[in-house]
Formats: sequence, C-alpha cells, structure tokens
Amino acid sequence: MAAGIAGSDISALLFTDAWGRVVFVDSNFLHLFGGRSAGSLVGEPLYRVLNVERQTVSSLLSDVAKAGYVQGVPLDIQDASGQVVTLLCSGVATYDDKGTFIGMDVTLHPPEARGSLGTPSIHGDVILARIRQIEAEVQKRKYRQQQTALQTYFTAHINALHILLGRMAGPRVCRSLQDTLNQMADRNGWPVRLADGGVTIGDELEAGVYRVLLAEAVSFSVSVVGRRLTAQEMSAVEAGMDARLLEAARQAGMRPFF
Amino acid sequence: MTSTLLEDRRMRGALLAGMLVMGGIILLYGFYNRLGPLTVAAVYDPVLVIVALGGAVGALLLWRASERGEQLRQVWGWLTVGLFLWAFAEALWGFFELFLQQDPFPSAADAAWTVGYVPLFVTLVLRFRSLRTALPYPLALILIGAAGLAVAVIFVIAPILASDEYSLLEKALTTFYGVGDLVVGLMALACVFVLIGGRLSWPWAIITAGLLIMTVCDLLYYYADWSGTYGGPTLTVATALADIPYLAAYLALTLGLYSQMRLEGIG
Repeated sequence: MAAGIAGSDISALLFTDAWGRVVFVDSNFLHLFGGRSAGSLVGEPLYRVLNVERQTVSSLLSDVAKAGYVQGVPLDIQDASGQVVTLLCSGVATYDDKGTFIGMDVTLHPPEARGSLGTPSIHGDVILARIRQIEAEVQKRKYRQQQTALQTYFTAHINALHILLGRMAGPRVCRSLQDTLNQMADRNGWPVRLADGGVTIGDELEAGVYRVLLAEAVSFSVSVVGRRLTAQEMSAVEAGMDARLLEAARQAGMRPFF
Repeated sequence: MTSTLLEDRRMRGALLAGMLVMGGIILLYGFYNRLGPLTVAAVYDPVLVIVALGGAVGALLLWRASERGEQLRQVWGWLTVGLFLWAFAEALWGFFELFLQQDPFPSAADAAWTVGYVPLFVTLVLRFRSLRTALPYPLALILIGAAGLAVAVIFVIAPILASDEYSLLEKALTTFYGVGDLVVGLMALACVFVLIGGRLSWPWAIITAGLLIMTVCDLLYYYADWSGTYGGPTLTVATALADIPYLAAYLALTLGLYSQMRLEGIG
C-alpha cells in the first residue's frame, strides 16, 4: 500500500458513495497504491482502502456533505510496510437531481503537489471545475430549499386563511378570495392557481411573488373578518412551523405581517 | 351554524335576557288599558332607550377592539355614531312624551333620527365593500325592495301624502323613514346574502331582521298615527303592533352586535 506515492507528484482519484464506500478508482490510484485490482477495491469502505481511522473518513465525508467540498486535508496513510505517508486529500460532493448528497470525489496528492490545484496535478483543472460546479450546486440547493420553505409557508397560510374565511364568511367570500388571487396571478403571469382551497404552483416563484400574494390574502381576510381573527389564525399556523421555515419567510419579507 | 351561536353560554344568556324583556313588555301591554298609556310609556320608553343604548355600546366595543387603519374599525365607528344618534332620538322622544307630555312627532327627536341614517348608511356601504364579493341574488334583492316599496307607498306613504292632515314636514319625514328604513334594511340584507354559510352571517341576519322589523313598525306607526288609531286610552292592534315589535327591532340590533362581539371573542 502507498508504495509508490512518496516523492511522486501524481494525484490519484477515487469516488465514493454517500456512506464512504469506494465506487471508482482511477489508474493513477491503482498505480500509486499498487497491488490490488479496481474490482477488489470497489465496494470497500474508504477507511479500509486507505488504511486510516474509520473516524477520519467519517469526518471527511461529513465535511464534504456539509460544505460541498474540502481542500488539502492532510491524511496520514499507513502503507503495507507500516510506514506512515502524509497525503493531501481534496474532496468534492456529488448530488443527484433533487440536490441530495450521494457521494464524494476524492483526490489524493503528495504534499509536494499542494499548490497543484492550479498547475502541476493532472486533476487540478478537473477539481477546480468540480469545485465551481459544486459551489453552483450548493447555491442552487440553497435556493431550492428557500423555494420549498417559502412555498410551504405560503401554502399553509393561504389554506388557513381560506378555512378561516370559509368558516366565518361563507363559501362566496372564499371564492372571492380565490378569484382575487387568481386574477392577480393571471395579470402578472405568475404560475399560481388557487382552487377549492388548494394551491398549485407550476414553477419556481420569486420570493416577492409569494409576498405580494400573501399580503393580498391577508388584506382580504382583515377586511372581511378583522385583524384580530386573521392574526390569531396566522399565529396558530406559525406555531406549528419549523423555525427554519419561519426564518426563510422572515428573510423573504413575508413576516411578520402584524 | 345556529347551534354554534347557541353553544355560547353568554349568547344564550343574552338571548334569554332579550326574551325576558320582550315578555315583560308584552305583559305590560296586556295591562295597557288598566295602566293607561302614560304609565306604559313610562316603562316602555326608558326600556327602549336602554336597549338602543346597548346596541350603540356594542358597536362602540367592536370599534374599540378593532385596530387603527382597519376597514372594520370604520364600519363599527360609523355604526356607533348612528346608533348613539338613534338612542338619543329615542331618549328625546321619551322626554317629549313623558316630561313635556307633547306629541313627539315631529320634534327634535326626528332630527337625531334623520341624521342617524347617514352614518348607518355609510356603515352598510363600507361593510358591503369590505366583503369584496359581488352581490349574489341581485334579482331577489330588487324584488324584495320593489315589493317592500310598493307596500309602503300604496298603503302608507301615498295616502299620507295625499291627505291634508299631516304637515309638509310630517309628510317628508314619513316618506324619508319609510324609504330610509327599507334602503338600510336591504343593504344589510345584501351583506347577509354574501355571508350566507359563514358564522358572520348570523350577526348580520339578526341585525337585518331588526332593521326590517323597524321598517314595518315605522310604517305601521305613521299609518296608525295618521289614521288616529295609535295611542289613546285603550290599546289598539295598531299600537301594539307598532310598539312591541319596535322594541324587538332594537333588541335584534343589540343582540346581533353582541353575537358579532362573541364571534370576535369580545365581551
């Protein structure tokens, strides 16, 4: 193990799944770590392949999953002869279409190649591109999470106001609220539709759209049943919401309404 | 929906109190011939003022409970002014009748009543607009209005206008009350039509019932007064029908506002 890595400036590449099991190793890895075939390494836990502490790989995996990538983390890898070799490890996260973490791409390179991310390593450009990609994915994921939070917040409040108006002011006033919001959405080309108290959102919406529609619904409800009852209903809805959801709504300027 | 209203202990108490008041007044009119009109008025007039004031206070409490800038605050504010003016008019009427022993029609009380219609009209316009919903059953409303107006004009307003017994002011007031009551009642009915199926329809249904009863009582009163069948030492059907439901109308207004308060968790 690690027989040829000391003194080399070649980087090795491997991929793992979300649990840290090896799913791919490149030829450099096989060359540098010599002795085993790719087939025998696939499916093995990374800590066993690298002969490091299990906790070391767990923490690496966790950091990559959280931040999207780590760069130049020193790993003390014990070779077959028992000699400890320090390698630098860079990892980038991989996500599926839904933004779920599904694994990491790991590059191992000798300390001499520390500055290699820009130049000497054959994987430097790939890693930089992947990091940029990951950064974009992380941003996208954050945006998607915010979208989901705002959509949940908006839908919960619209449903609650719909129920409140139905209970207090009857079905006609409920339909009138629906029509008002649908007309507003149609006028502005927003892919939002209210029908029978349900909210259908066709595409991702800007936070401002949720804010404007919810403000209109609140204003409608206040006009019909008063601020006191509307605020009570909205507070009851918010009491059952996750703090992160409320924070996302606050950041989007959707709360507090009263 | 009615059960929701009656499930409220305080609302049941208020209804019971209203029924007791009505029972007492019916009993009082049962002894009308023995007690005489002045004694009956000495009880009836203050009770009427108290009940009317109750409605005004209810509107005031609703106004206080709403927040500055809120549309409903304007609704309750205007209603408070209107109902206080009407309560004041009832008090003036009683004062003229009991203390000055004058026929209170026409008098300063009519000025208060007449002015009182303006805030009441504004209240109903604002309330209807605040519902932000198109008027359902417009034809039904037009038919009810037309039928009501036809009855009022054919049986009360036209005969009074055609006669020489009423002065011009009395004729104008009779016409104004007849039409004004009907307009206000229909506007309240429009709000009920919109709110049907919701809990808020009940307070407005009770208020509307009060306003429509008041329309009938006012027309009956002016007809009876003009025809000379109102008041006098012995109880006439016209007197009983004009006075007793008139108190019921104020009670309905007050109870309607109280039920609105209960729905909003006030009182």
